[in-house]
Amino acid sequence: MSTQPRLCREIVLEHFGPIVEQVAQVLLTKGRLTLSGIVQFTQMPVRTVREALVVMIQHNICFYAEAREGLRQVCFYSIGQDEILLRLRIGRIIYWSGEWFGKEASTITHLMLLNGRLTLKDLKQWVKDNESSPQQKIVAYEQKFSQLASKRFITAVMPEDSKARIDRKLEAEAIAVNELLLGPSTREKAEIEFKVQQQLDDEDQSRQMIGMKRKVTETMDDDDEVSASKRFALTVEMEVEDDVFFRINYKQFTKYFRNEAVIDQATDIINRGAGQVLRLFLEQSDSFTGGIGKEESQPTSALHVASVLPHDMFTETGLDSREDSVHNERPTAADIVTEYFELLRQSPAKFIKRADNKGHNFFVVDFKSIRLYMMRKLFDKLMKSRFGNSTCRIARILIEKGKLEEKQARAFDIMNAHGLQAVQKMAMLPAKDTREKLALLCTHGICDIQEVPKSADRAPSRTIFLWFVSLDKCYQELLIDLYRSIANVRQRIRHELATRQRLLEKMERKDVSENQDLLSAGDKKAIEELNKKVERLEVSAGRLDEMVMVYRDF
Amino acid sequence: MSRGGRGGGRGGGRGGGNPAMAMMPFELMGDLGSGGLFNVQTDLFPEREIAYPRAPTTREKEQLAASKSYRQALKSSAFYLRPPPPPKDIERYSDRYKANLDKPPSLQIISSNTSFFPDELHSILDPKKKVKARKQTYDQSNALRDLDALTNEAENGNKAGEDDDEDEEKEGQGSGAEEEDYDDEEDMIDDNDYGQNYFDNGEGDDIDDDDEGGGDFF
Repeated sequence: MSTQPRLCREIVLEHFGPIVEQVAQVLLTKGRLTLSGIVQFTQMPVRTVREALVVMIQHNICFYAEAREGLRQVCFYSIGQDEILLRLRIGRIIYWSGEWFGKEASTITHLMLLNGRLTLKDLKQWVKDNESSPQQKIVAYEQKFSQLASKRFITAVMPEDSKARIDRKLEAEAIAVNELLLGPSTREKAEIEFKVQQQLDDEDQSRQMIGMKRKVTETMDDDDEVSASKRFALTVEMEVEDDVFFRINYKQFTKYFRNEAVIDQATDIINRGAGQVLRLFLEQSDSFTGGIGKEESQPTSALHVASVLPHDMFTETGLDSREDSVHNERPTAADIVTEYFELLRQSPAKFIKRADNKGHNFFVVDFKSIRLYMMRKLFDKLMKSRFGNSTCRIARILIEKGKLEEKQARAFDIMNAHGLQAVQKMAMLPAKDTREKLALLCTHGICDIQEVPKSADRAPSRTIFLWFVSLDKCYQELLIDLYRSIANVRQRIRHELATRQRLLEKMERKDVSENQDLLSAGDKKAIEELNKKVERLEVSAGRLDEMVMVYRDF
Repeated sequence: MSRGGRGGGRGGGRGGGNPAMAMMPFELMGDLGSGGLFNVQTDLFPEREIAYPRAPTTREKEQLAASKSYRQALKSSAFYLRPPPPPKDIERYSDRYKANLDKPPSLQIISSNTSFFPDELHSILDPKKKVKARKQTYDQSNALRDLDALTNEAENGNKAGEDDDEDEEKEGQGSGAEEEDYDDEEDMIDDNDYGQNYFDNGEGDDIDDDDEGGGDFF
C-alpha cells in the first residue's frame, strides 16, 4: 500500500519540514529502526536525527520501544501512520471546537496541536503574554480547559503513550505464556491474545480521568437537610491539575463528527424536526460520551425524549398541524416524538430500531446501518460521476441481485444467478454495451467474475460466468483511492507554490509585507489567482478527508 | 507520479466500441485475449470532461483559515526543522529587505517532560544532561562469551585491553554522539569473536602434525 506512506510523507513535509520528512520516510519504508539505523539510511548528522525524533514523539506520531539485544539496551523507533493521517483533520477540529465550546476552546485546541502537548500552566503563561487584560481571561480559559478535559476532548499524557503499543501487548502475552506450565497450545495462545487485548483496552478507558482532581464547590450552603452523601454527589466537580500534560483526543472529535453527520442525514432525508429529535435522542442516550466503535446507542424511549423536547418545536415542525384530529386537542409531545420515531425507523437508512428487551417501546440508534447507508450512498455518487448513468445502473443491479450469470435460459439458481443477457434485459442496454461496461467495472475493481465450470477441463466455452459486486472490497479500494487523491491534491498545492516561489519571496520582503501597494498590478493579480487556486484545492482536500472519515472512522 | 490531475482517480474512459464484437458470445472472447474488450483509446492524456466542484461554503472557508493559521504557526515554531542556510557569498541589495529568518527557537525551550522520551533523546531537551553511558547489563547467556573474550585478551597481550580502557574513558566522559557511534563500532568488533576463535591461518601449526590431519576427511 504505497498510497498511505506517500500521503503521510506529504503531511509530515508540510507540517514539520524537510528534515523530519526524510526521517519519517526512512521509518515508513524500512519499519522500525534504531537511532544508528536511521543515521545510516538518511546520511544526516546524529544530532539532527535526534531532534527530528524528539519533534515527532512530542507530536505523538512516533513511538519508541526499548529492547535488549545482546549486552546492550537499544531503542527502536516506529511511525504511527494512523496518527499522521489524522492530522489532516486539524483545521476542522480547531474550527468546530470553537463552534461547540467558544472562542477560547478553539485557541486552546490550536495551542495544544501546535505544541503537541500542553499543560494548564503553559496555557496560563501564554494568555498572560498574548492577550489583553489577562486576568479575567485566565479564569475563562481555565474553565474551558476543564470543560474540554471533562468531556474527554483532551486527555492526559502518560509516559506509556509514546511506547509502541505492540510492544506492550507482546510483553503482556509473554508474561501470560510464561505462567502456563507447559508450552501453550494454539487455542490457549488465542485466548491469551484476546484477554491481553481486552486488558489493554480497559486500561485505556480507565485512564480517562487522569490529570484531574476533584474540586468541591460550595453551592448548597444553606440547605442543611441535604444528606452528606447527596451533597457530595451534587457539588463535586472536576478540575484540571496544573502540571499534567494534555493532548487532543482525536477519537472524541471523530465521535462528535459522526453524530453530526448522522443528524445531517436525518435532516436531509426526512426533515429538520427529525434531525432535532435524533439529536435529542443521542444526547439523552449519552452517545456523546461512549466509545465510537459501538454499533448501537443506549436505549431510550419516546417519553424520555419528549420530556427534554424544547417547547418551540411544536410550531416549527410540520407534523404539528393535523386536520383529522379534534381541533381543540393539541397533540402531546410524546405523540409527536413517537411519530418521528416511526419515520426514523422506516426511512431507508433505518436510523433507529426497536430494542424491546430493555423495556416497552424502547429504541436504539443503529449506527451500523447508518454507516452502511452513508458508505453506499457515497459510493453510488462517486460511481455515477465517474462512469455515467448506465454503468452505474448495471453496478446497482449486480449489487442488488447477487451473482448474475451468463444466460437466463439456464435455470441454475446459484445465489440468484442471472446471465449476461439477463443483465442486459434489466439494464435495458444492448449486448455490446453491457459487455463493455461490465469490463470497465472489472478493470476498476468494482465487479468480479466467478467461473463455474461445467466440464472437467474448464474450457471457457463450457463454463458459466457469474458477475458480481463485492461491496466490502469496493469500499476498501475506494479508501485507498481517497488517500491517493488527497496526496495528489497536496502535491499539486506544493507544485503551485513552488512555481511561484519568486513571487512568494517577494511577498515576504519586509517592505512589501507592510505595504502591499509596492507590488505591480500583475503581481497582485497573480497573488489573487494563487490564493483562489490554493483555496479550491484545500477545500477539495477537506472534502476528501470528510469522505475518508465516513469510510474509515465512523 | 501523479499527472497533477485534480481529484485523482483513474481515467473514466468511455470504452471505444468495436462493431465486430457485437455478435461474439462471451465464452469465446477469451481467445481474443485483451484485444476484444479493452480496445480503448490509449492516449497519454485522453480527453475528459472535468466536473466543477461546489463552491466552498463559509464553514469550509473558516476551516481552511484555521488550518492555514495553524500551519503558519507551526512553521515559525521550534518544531519546523530546516537545513542550515547556505553561507552568504556576496552582499546583495535585497538582503536589506529580506524577511528576517532568525534562527528558529531551539528545541530546548519547549516544555515537555523528559519521562516521555527515551534516554537517548534527553540531551536534546535538556542540554545539561550528557548522553547517558550505555549500561552494560550482565547477561547469563553472554558469560561464556565474556570468558572467551578474556582468554583471547590474555593471548593477544595487552593490546585489546588498551582499546577497552580507551572505551571506558570515553564512556565515562559521556561526550557527544560521535563517540557513541564510535563505541557502537567497537562493541560490534568485540562481539565478533568468531574470527579470534575459529580462524586459524596455519601460522601456529607444527609441521609435525601433517600425518594426523588425515582423519578429517570423510
